[in-house]
Amino acid sequence: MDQVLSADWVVQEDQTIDLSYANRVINTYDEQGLETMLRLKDADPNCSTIAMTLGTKETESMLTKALALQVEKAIRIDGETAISQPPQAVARILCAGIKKIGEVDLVLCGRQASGSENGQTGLILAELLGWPCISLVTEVLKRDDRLVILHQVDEGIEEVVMGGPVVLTMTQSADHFLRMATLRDMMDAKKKSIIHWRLEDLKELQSVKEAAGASLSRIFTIEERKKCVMVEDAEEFADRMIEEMRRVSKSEGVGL
Amino acid sequence: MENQKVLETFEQMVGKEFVQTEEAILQEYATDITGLRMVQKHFGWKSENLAQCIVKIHTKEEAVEVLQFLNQEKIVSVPRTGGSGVCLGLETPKGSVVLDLSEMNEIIEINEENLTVTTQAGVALERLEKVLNKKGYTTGHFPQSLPLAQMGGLVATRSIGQFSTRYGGIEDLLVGIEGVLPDGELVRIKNIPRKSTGPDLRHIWLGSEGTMGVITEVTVKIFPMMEERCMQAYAIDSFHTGLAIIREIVQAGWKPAVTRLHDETEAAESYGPFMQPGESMLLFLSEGPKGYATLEGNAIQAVVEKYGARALGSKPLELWLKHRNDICDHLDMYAKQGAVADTCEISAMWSDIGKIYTEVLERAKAEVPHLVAITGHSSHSYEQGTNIYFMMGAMCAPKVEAAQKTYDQLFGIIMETTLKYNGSICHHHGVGRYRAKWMKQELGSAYPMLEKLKMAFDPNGVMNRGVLLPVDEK
Repeated sequence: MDQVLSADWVVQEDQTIDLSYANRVINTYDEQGLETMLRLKDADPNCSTIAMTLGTKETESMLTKALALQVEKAIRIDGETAISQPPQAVARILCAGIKKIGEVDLVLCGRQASGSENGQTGLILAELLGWPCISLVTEVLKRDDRLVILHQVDEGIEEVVMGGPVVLTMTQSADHFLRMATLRDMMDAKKKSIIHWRLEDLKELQSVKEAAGASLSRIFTIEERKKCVMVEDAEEFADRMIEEMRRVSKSEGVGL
Repeated sequence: MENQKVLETFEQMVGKEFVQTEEAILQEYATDITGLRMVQKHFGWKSENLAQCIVKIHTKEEAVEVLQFLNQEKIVSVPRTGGSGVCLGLETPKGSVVLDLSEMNEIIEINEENLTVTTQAGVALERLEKVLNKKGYTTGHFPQSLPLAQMGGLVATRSIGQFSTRYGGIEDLLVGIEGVLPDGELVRIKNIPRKSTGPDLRHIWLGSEGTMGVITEVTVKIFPMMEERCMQAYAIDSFHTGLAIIREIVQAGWKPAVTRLHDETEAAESYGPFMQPGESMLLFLSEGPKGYATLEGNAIQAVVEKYGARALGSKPLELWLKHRNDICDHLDMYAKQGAVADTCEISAMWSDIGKIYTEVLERAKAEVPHLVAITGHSSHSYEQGTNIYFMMGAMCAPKVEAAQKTYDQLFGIIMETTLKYNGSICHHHGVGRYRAKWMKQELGSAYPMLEKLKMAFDPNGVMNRGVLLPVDEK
């Protein structure tokens, strides 16, 4: 999203932001998820890998990249992925998609989209699936049949050892970058087919609106207002400052 | 002389706190930010050729004393300022001494009458630009290394900036210079707009890459901030048509400060939503006194329309201006993705440049096994020719040797093809240690001139040995 110039971050009448000139790329957190999946596959060639996204035809370039990186299957569920799309809707659609796939042990998703930054989809998805969710994951390893999951907590990094199924929301880690696809693999991937599901292909979901159970009514910026008092004299300034600090400390119950 | 005595001598000269010997710091100073080393470091590379110490120099007097001593003891030194070299020019030979001038960072004089600024060698270009901007001036010099580079290094590597068509390279900006020769002699070339007193001695320093002495002070041109800007972008059907358009514009006498042509891969990668498949992207930014930019902008428009280019407005230029130096924040990004990646800039006459571009791409795609991408753009144009800035990357096994092999193959293709069509192997990054092996072919019958210059200035071969001239040659 940093491709979008700061002057263009303006909410339009239809509750969208004009991102038309920004290249579509996989967001950083989703890249972490994809790379983690590929590393798990490197370690255990028997596990199967699927990349799934909700989006319009334009988003298929990202799935092609996943296929070039040797993800075995790519699925696109037809739908809008505008900033105005509520996370409840995205999660419900993804949930229906995962149920349609069938046997899934691990869902890796980015902690948040880089446009709307809601940070809710993974958590809601886990709830809908009835699975546990671990958030802010930086690394996942497979030890025997268990997953070793490192994730950020207030005190630092916590290690959780558990079995699936589980939803993990991925965040950045310093040395975890999505590998690159070679030119040849990219060319081969363009010949591979992407599975396309329409909403009506998914049980119980006929429309995004129905899936959401909620709709976005307004995006707006809170106007920051500051009360300023102009004091020109230095001595008066010091007195006023002390007075103000006393007032604030008293109101917050802090000794000065 | 024993190592300990050498250190004690330096400590007496510059102060104990300015002589560093900690291994971790020597390891940091052991190389520069060449793409090869970035990925090799990620794969566990550590230099086996550490310097014996780093000497931080703060005055020209200290530089004189230190160089006299080094010459007398025949100890090899590696001068450096910002450390943003990308050709292994800052790589330390074993037991050498790094001369760090980055703390010589005083802006000495901004002369508004003559439009010059005089700085010490370690002044950061970005800081200088901000100081000048506040006074209504600019250096007109914006290399991609802007957030890292310092003035001494810019001169020593024959740097060029992204607005070069209007402002020129550092060789066009340098007015006067002061430096210390390898034997410790302090020399100054005074500030003069132009003269006819024999060979231009400034060119001994320009591109010397630390092999002819140490630069301590430079005076460069400054310019009033321009009153008007005109930005325009166009999609064009092919890279070669884009080259023809630029040639026509610059040969007609126009000098759009930014004149760039990105090939279809780069255009799709950076400006995808603007582009149709196969199209290349032309970017022009004109600036000057009131009226000039509009006039030039209109002339450019007339030329590109003749070639059937598709106008895209100014947005791609705005995006480029915002993101042009982003790579400085993520130098090791490609390494962390497991790719050997780097850039390589060459130049050639208009009659040959297109052939080099085409053949390099064809060869790389056919010969490099795990190629991720190879792209090119032209970013510095002249009446006689232009440069191509290749960007390339390939995956390799996560091993130091595998990275070297892949890097050598990619670079070798560019160097060989450039020389085949009589181009130059370096447009503005310099030679360093990495490209020195091609210098004999690059200079041809002029090669002995460089050898003799080096011999005259540095008969003991103590200044940045292995740079410009390969170590086994001289």
